[in-house]
Amino acid sequence: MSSENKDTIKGTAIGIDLGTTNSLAAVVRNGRPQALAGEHGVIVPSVILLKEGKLEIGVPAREAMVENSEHTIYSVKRLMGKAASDFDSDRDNLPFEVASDTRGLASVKIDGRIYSPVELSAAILKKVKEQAEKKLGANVDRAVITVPAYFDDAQRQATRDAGKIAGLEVLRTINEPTAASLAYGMDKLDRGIIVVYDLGGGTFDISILRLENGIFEVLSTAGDTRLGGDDFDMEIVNLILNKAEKLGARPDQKSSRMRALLRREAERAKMELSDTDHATITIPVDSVDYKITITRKEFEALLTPWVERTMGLCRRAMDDAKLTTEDINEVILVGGSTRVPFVREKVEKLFRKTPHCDLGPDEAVAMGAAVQADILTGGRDDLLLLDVTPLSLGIEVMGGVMNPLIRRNAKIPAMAKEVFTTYVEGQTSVAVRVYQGERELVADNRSLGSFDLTGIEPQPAGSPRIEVSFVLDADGILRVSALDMKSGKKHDITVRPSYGLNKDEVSQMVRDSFVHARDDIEKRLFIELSQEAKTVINATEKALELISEFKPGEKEDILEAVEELETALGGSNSRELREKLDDLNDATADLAARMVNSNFGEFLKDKSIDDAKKYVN
Amino acid sequence: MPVNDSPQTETSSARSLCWSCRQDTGKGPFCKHCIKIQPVDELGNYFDLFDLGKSFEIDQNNLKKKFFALSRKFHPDYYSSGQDEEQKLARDNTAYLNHALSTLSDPVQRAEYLLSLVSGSYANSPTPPQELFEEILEVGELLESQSLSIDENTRLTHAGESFRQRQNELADSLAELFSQLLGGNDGAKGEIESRLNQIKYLRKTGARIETALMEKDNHE
Repeated sequence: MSSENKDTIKGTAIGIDLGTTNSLAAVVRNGRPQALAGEHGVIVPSVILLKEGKLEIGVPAREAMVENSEHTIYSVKRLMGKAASDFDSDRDNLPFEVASDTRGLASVKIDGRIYSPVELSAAILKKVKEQAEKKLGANVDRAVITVPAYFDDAQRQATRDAGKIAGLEVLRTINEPTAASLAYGMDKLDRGIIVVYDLGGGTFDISILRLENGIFEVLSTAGDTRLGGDDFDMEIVNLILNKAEKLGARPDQKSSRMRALLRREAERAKMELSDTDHATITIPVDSVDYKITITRKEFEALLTPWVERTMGLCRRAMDDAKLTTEDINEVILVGGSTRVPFVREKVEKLFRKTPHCDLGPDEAVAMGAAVQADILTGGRDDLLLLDVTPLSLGIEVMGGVMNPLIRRNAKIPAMAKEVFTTYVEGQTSVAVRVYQGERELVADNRSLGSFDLTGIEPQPAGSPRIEVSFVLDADGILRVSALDMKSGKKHDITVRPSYGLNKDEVSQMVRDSFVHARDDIEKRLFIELSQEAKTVINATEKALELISEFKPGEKEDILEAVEELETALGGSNSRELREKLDDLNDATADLAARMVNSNFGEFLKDKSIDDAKKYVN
Repeated sequence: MPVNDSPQTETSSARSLCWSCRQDTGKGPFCKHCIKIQPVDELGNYFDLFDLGKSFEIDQNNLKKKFFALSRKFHPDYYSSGQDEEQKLARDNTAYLNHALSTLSDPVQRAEYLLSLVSGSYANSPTPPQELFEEILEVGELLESQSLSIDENTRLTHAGESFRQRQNELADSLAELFSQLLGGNDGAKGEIESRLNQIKYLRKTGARIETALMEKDNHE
């Protein structure tokens, strides 16, 4: 089935790990993935130096970082696909000035010029590509680029755009932990369950996979796009500042040079503390050298909340995969931050397995991407990766409720269709609003965009049938369409995230669903009951118009019950709503029985039919 | 009625000609003349896709095996240098296959799908089942309190266990009801629908309990 690589004019396809801190490329040669080294080794630090119109990338840029701090950019991956407003709260923790471009997208401002994270990432990719071409002595024009599993659509799209700008045909964006599992599993494991714990410079991902005869089936994924080694460094920087203050030193935090120096020293201390009990650093303040010692204990105390957060996400991923620690056969560590012994200990304790990292935590991801590039270009067809979508996708239905069509951890490509109807008499258009996230109410999820399906023939509420379809491709790009089943009128869009509508970011949204899950139950019960209540009131009112004979007091009782139910609808107490609904049903029971025996019998059935409908606002 | 898919019941003879060679494709997922990939959703329902009999009871290991075999035939990774139409069909076929797998591996979705195949529709009532209303509200109140006492925590844990157990019991009980329905007893449909609604509410609330307890674990 795999198509031959017939196109001989095409160049080599490689795998690229575009990391927050480091990037690198790998290629498959003679069936084996290998990292491609340049003059400074395989790793290209994701650091960019922009000075006097000159561009330096990688090791030279990193080395010159302290003296050129105002012209150096790093960790740019954190801005990919984000709105500038997403950084309102933590602008100070970023190593550069976040600006807003004309569309409100987050950008970097250097020397008064604005650079988009896409073009900066493209510059890194170009450097990686050139290094690969030099090593291979061949033209490289296609690549599989890895992204954190927890990247949303916008972030994936931005990564693809960066690839294009760098002159690469992006064959696929694949998830970093999945890529690592490909590199590990291709010849080490026939079958079994593996956990990939991926803690990089800026992001955390956990993926659980089942391997069986060359098929890599992702069972679940969880993560946080704002948790990584950068946070560890920030913690150390703050500790250094505290200690310096006690020594009477006041480093100028406004100076970008001082910030770069503190960061470099923090990073060095972090590495040293992996092997020793304490690390001593020197910072020059007002031409005095201050020596500051940090103990491993202090460092680990600072890490605890961050590492605990990753543990919670690991538990959720296991829960989603319906697995317990006994089911796990292998644990793989990926990402530079898993070099920290404290992280390893915690992982080992949680999964009760000694974790592996024999491929090197930096190289596994790029090597796996190279294997996927080989699969996609027809190099081998015995391996197959079956991945999932990290977040649920759905539309808004009446009451601001999220109605998921594709659930998180659904296999991709995915499709879903559901039929909705209208709520208002004679409604001629519906708004299809698309959201991504796990919360019950759309207001708490991320808006991906919306469109109107117009030209619906005016009909009674609840009559039109509108079929909404989602198609999510292997790259995680979503297509949504809505079809009026009566007229055949159709509207479809490829969803591009809209910025600024909801600045909550994906991981925050999921964290929120842990914290806020509790207050949604009652709200949801209430909303569902209100739909029933409104239908019953509607049916009762119509019945009252049609019926002229009542028992003494019957009509008054019914009207009172309707009024009380309407009052309950105005409140928020679902128990009360249920009672009033029961009261009205009791009050109309006799009437209903009489109607069944009369010509109006059909009428009552409406009650139950309408229950079944969902409404698009 | 929310319909999660439109089950195709036509036989393969209803399939249009091959998009590539314009000949009769035959009954398989690939054209018998030019071996190009064909739309698989025109070949029948999910049970047909996996070559399984229409039944509520399914051997999950067997299902998974067949799923992997079909994934190897359709997955877009194997068509990335193919024609646009092939790439689109690979995507659609795999999406259809993935949906078929998730539908048949989950008892609730499987039941709903089977109901829609057998009787064309089912009432998917979003109304909280009367039987569980008080219980769900109680759990909701427990979940709302900011810090749980040891006693409340135990009650929540027990409620979670009880929800899970009743879910499984209700799901198991569906097998018998479905064999009645498939045997021609239409009366079983109402009972299946009512139990399905209960399972859904038990499941939804149960998931909330688990999240809350897990969150608590994380804080300790």
